[in-house]
Amino acid sequence: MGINFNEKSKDNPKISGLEKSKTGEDALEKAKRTGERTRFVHKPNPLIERDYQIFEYIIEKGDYEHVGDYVLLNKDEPREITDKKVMNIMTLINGKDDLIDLSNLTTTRLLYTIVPEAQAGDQTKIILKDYDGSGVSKDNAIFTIRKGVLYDKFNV
Amino acid sequence: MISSTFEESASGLPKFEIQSMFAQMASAHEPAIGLGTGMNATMSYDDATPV
Repeated sequence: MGINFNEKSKDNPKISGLEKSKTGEDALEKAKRTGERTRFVHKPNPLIERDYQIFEYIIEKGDYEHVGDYVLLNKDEPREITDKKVMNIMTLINGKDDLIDLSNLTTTRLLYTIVPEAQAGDQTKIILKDYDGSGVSKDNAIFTIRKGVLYDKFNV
Repeated sequence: MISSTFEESASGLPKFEIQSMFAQMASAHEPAIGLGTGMNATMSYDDATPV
């Protein structure tokens, strides 16, 4: 099945006129307003500071559905780094690999662990960690997304 | 640029290999200043046991 998620909607031309008047909107609002069919979009969680909700465009519903979260555990992390890390994840799950280079912003290495399926329920759960070169790594964030978006090549 | 790290799922939508995806994430996140003898960013399994 060939679906171009980035093709602008042709059945809702009226909303295009709003594009220049709105600023500061999140990716979900923009996607809904412009009719762009980006498969995954994210927006800040309105209830939890510096957490993000991930939405997937469901073709059958013609709307976005909440399918995952990015929960920041290390609240000391600079906002710029968190934002760019989330954007990089979104880039990858949208099938692209033009990532933002964070090498000049961070002093820690990014590690991760995959939470076993038995503990993760109906989602794929990955714990991101920071490693500063000594001792053990520290939990940085938890990324969850509905099962089926990602797969573990060592556990298929 | 479209990533080559996905395959098509039963629903027809692409799904992504975790290891390749996070190797790219780790590569983009690798600090410019060296961390000495640490793990290779492309082998980002963290087996360290918290103490």
